Amino acid sequence: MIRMDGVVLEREGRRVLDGVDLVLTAGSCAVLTGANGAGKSSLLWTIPGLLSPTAGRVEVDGVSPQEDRFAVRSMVGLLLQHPPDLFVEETVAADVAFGPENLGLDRAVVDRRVEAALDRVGLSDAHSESVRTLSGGQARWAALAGVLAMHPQVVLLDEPAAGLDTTGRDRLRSIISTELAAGNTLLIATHTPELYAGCSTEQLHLADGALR
Amino acid sequence: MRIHRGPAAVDPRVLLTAQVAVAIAIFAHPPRTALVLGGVLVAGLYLWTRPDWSHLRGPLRIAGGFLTVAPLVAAVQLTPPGIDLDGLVRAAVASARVLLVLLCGLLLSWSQSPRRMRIAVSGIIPGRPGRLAGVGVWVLATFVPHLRAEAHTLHRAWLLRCGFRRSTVQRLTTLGRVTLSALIERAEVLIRALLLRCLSWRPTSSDRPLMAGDVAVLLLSVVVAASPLLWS
Repeated sequence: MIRMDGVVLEREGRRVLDGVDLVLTAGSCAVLTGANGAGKSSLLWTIPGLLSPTAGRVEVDGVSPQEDRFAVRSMVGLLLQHPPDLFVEETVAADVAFGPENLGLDRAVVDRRVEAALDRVGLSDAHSESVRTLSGGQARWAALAGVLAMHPQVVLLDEPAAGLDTTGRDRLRSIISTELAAGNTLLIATHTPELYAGCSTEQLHLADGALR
Repeated sequence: MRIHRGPAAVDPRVLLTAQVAVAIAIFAHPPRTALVLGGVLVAGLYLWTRPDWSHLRGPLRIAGGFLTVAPLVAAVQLTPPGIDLDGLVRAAVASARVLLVLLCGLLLSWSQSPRRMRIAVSGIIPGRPGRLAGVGVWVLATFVPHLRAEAHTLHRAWLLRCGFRRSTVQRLTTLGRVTLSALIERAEVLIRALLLRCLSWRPTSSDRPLMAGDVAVLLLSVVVAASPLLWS
């Protein structure tokens, strides 16, 4: 599902990724670790094409984001490390609906997806709340609902458990398991790989710009 | 199910039409009628919309200040007697018309989300220009609150770290520089979010058939817009 061949990424004169090779098949869950600044987020950003590799090739289901951005981005959901950076609408429900609306789905389908996604993350009562007044944890859930509502086949999570309490972590693990059961591919960048020991099928470590 | 009242219950395209109708009426009537009609409309809209003044204070403070000063500046003459009274009255009436249109517009739109503004603009202007204008309005309306929040955060950080003890010049240059870079950064963040979430020119439409309330507002708008012809 995800394929990276010899991906090199340079940012501001620094080589962040130095020949990354990665293959993740559909239905797999990989945990990506690495020191702060090792390039975990940059690696995730290259998959939907937010960053273009200096050399090498990235593919999602055989399609490169440089060739067909819409196709790749409608398949890939990325939860950013700072989730509020994903918000574009005023209220929680409107923001969660933003992505599915962009896919051109019927209104009824969009509404169903919004309900289901908010229900999965435990924000069913937060429809009309402003995204700007959410707490850190709630903002993470709202952003995740926006990702899930697009029904991505590839889910990229950047430090998804940061700031979550024990109940929140359980809920997150349950969501990951459901996504895996649906045959989706997950890649989780984290400093706490033990949280995902039960659901991850692969451990990746990024150091000196390469996967070990 | 949530029940919407006031302007939130009205189709956004109808609300935009109402704003245009109010502007036509206030500018087309002779001064006295325009001011009376404008006053009545403002009072009526106030009672209908029950606004949250915190949303209106900002734009009113800026526009109100400008519209108050503008007639005084317009009336100043370099030759004796130094002030043109007729010019002052003309400019004051013009300012009052603009202020009334602005007030009506704010009262009708204060509760409108950027998303409803996009629907309104792209629903009224046909074709690609409408879609472009709709996205433009939406981006602007989305970006401004983010910017304000960013500015508040910066200001708070500045105060918490005793920035007020610095000189005015330092304060202005530092805050100006930091605000500018925050603005650019915020724009980048928004663009990134739009890319990740597949911003589309043709998203799922939020259209619904016009309801009785929409039709009533639309009819009133037609009457208001046509009132200069009816009373002439």
